[in-house]
Amino acid sequence: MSSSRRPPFLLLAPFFGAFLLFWAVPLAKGFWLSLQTNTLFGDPGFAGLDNYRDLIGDPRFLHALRNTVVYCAMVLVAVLPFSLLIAHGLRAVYPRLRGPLQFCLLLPGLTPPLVLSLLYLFVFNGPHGLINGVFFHPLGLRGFDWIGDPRLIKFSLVLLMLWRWTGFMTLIFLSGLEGVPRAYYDSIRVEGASAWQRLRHVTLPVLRPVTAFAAAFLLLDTFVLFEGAYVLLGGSGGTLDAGLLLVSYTYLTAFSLGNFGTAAAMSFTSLPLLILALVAILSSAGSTARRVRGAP
Amino acid sequence: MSRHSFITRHAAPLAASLALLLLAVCFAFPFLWMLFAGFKIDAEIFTPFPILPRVFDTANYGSLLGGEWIPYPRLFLNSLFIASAETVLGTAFACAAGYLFAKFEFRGKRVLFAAAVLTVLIPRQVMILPLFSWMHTLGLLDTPWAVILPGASSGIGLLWFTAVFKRLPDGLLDMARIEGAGEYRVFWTALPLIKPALIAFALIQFTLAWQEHLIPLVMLFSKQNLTVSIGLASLHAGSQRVPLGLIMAGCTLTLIPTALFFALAYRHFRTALGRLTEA
Repeated sequence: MSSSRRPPFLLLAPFFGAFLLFWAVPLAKGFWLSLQTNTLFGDPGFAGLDNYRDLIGDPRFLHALRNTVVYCAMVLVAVLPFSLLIAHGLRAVYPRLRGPLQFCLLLPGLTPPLVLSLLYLFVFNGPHGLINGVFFHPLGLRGFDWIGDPRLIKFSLVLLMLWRWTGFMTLIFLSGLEGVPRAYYDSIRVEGASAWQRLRHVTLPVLRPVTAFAAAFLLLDTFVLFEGAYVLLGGSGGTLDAGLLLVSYTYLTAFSLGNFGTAAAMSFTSLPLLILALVAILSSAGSTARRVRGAP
Repeated sequence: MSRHSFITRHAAPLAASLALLLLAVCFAFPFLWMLFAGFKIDAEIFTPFPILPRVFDTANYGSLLGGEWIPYPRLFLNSLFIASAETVLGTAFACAAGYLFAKFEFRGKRVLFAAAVLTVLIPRQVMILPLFSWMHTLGLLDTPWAVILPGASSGIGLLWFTAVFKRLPDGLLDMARIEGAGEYRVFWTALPLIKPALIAFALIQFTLAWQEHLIPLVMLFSKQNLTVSIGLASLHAGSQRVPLGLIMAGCTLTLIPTALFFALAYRHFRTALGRLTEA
């Protein structure tokens, strides 16, 4: 049994060396920074929890926080079911088409987000965009201001994420679907189950661990999505701050206003929220995986 | 009768194929436009149709690669170096640590694992400020290492490789032990057995590293030290009148490394994902 031998501990050294130096130390420093008054150079004073107290009274921060939560939820709800649907579709198409289709769907995921945002602007940018130019203007309609209109900006950001991640998520679901034993479907089909029942009682439970991985990955990326909002909105929150996300507000506070202490406090306030969401997602995967194995 | 079965046999694949073709065209059209925009003069660019340029004008590529606006070839190499180094270090570090977590029991293992995964899963944005001042202290600001080193310990990588090695039967490792190999040697002989997983993770890591924006934006500032994304962003945001065709030419070239890597590694990627998700 391998566990009785002396573990080769040196294998841990590189990972945890880099981890300590470039994650743990900055994290500790960041927490210390969040307790200081706002000066980058020179001597900052100790501010205690003042920065945190200021945040709670800052309506713009609360607004950004709410925007971020809504936006993350919207992305998860849009991308995951859509990708599952596409994965199902890819299993049904003519085999010869499968490769080219996958390549087209994956293309946005292989592109630097900056490039993606520029292309997105080309399609959706208000009066000059492709959508308005091709679909609305010929009909004499004015079209929509997809990015400037505060009611549409969140929708636009979600669509950008959908474009970016559908291909990759589809690939993950496809692998998950291939892992479902045929016998599961056969046995439930004998019982006369509908397509919906097959999805609900076989596909979804079996896919739960894969979905959890996909959701965690997506949540992290959405939470830190900076380029999208940054390029589309020029670093601001857009009209009426409707597209102001925590990541852009933190960046603005730190690098435009120079309020490093406040920005650090901002980062740490959102941290428990994110960890809670991740733990919930990952642990739900574990429990359902067990439940499925106990099922017929 | 035969006609009926022809329809039932083809209805589903045909419907799925048509629907997905439409979607694929929507997904890929902007890329097609970008590809051709690099060869157009600006007056032609904003009318999406006809999508083909009247004459293929290579002036944009000429002044892009000639470094007229930004030192593009230099920036491209910077990005390649940063992404490659992050890929090699990130994959190697996570692989070694994941092996230990999957195959051995030791005191403090759970705490260490949870700390590594939870902390490393923390988004970059939370770390960026203190990281900036820490890199300033270390004297690494404005060097590629300020971007590479934080990317060298990947929490997702640790999760990935722990799962991969858990599925590797102990018997294979014991065979090496019976032949008298030391524990480090055993680890080394296990690597070829997980080759698809290694390549698959390298692919993920490279794609993410190639796409990174926030860390390079903050850490690098000299004009010739930037990454390609940051350089293009500065062209887009700058006040000079840079031809849009030139920016699009620059954007088109950024797709080559990831697309190439993906095409080469796709088979291994599917194998590795398939093995991980087997019920």
